[in-house]
Amino acid sequence: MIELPRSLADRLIAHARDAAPHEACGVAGVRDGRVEQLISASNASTRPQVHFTFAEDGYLAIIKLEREGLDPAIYHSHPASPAYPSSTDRAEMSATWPDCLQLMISLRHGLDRPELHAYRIAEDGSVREEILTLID
Amino acid sequence: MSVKVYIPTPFRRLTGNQARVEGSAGTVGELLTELEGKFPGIRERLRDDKGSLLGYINVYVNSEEISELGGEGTSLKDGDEVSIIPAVAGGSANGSSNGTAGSVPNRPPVTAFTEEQVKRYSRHLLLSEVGPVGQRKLMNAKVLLIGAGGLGSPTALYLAAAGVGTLGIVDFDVVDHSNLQRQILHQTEDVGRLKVESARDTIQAMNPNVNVEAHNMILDSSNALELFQQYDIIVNGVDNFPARYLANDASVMLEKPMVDGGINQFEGMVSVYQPGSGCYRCLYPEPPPPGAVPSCAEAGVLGVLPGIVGSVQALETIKLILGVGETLTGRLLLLDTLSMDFRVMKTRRNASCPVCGDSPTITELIDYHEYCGLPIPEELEQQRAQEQTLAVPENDRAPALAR
Repeated sequence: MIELPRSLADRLIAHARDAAPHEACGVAGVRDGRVEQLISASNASTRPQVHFTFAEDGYLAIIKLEREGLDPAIYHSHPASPAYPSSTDRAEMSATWPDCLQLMISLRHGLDRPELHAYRIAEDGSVREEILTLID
Repeated sequence: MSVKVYIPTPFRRLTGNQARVEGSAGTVGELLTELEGKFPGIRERLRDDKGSLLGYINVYVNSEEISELGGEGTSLKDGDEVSIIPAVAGGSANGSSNGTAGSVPNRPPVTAFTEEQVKRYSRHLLLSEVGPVGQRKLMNAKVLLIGAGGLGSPTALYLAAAGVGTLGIVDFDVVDHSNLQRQILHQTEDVGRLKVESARDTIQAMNPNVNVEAHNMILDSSNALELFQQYDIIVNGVDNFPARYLANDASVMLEKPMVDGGINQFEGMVSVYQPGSGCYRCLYPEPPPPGAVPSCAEAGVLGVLPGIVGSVQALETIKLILGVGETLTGRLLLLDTLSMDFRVMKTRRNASCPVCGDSPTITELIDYHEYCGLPIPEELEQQRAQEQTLAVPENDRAPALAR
């Protein structure tokens, strides 16, 4: 189970809205099952409406959070599809960051009806949902 | 009927400097006879006393070697291109020295890079074919470069820039003024220094993340296996046939992928040999007789040519490490930089190859200078004598002579 402060949930959704119709992406820092920090990153993909790739700032953000003793998690948004890892997400995340916490935002039902979910994608590509609990 | 014949550089003085001549014969054998009649002197370059094609000459019809087709009886049709391709010694030193993913780890640990590495490799991280996983593979890879000369220089520079974690460099020589025209690892101030030390300094200035292992020695049957064993991929930048066959045989015996490159005046060649896909001996079972193929020191070489060929070698090495794209395994890239003809020929493992065939007859490294009919260089004699001395227990060594 992952605890997500409402203020950080609001920031995730705001980033997703600002980036739409492109996918937003960034890194979250987690300690003892609670998200403590968010660092937004640039989406360097050549197809940003359906895909994300970290630019330099994403990797630098991971380094910064690890240095502060936090576990890095990855977040990204799907402007028009469900808040669930796509086949590309599964292929890329299982190879690059297996078992890393993945926070996903979907705006498929509209900018004012965002969805927020969390998953872990194993090395074999299988997906396991993490319960996300909003806290004050 | 008209077919075109591609004439390699070393033979062009016999064809009035023409790179391409026309023929009209119906088979390869008849075409070669036609050429021999038109251009005196060509026969001796192509055939031995018994009239058979020399072992170090390959003939292609379009992109296929004639031994895969009908030999000299291969039929020709209008518009075919027949290419005559002799072996090249390679490299560019003063003539005296030599220096997909195979055994590269499959799943590198994805640990965070340093900030410096993220910035340095950011253009790699953006590529889906590389990304953090691929970059980590490059950083975990160990590549051995034989020769820090014309071919080894660009190869070393591009592999270092790419972040290959360990670069081993074998070279015996010192930097000579005449090297500076093409051996871009070395600067004017390095003249007189050991090439491996000059190379190490240049590489580390370019990318301090790279671990350079300098091997100041001549590659020989006594040291090749132990040396090659420490690396994942061997990149061949040698300049003479004994070293070429030695590096090939050692790579095959240890099942190490080898990225092979050779140059001669304005022409170059690159191929990749992987276990099971053939080796240099499949392509050229025998070395040319001494003197038949001039070295770069004898015939000269356009300085930028090894830059291109060595860069292709670096590219192929990177593709092997990353496991992306299609390498030149089973293919031979031929570059004619005067005409800008870049062609790819098919190659194939020879099941009867004495080293990599189904029943190998060469299972240990041999004396390659003897094999190539060449005298052993003085430096190699000295190195061998030194090895023998060190191998004898100190108490049993002959006492030093009084001076």
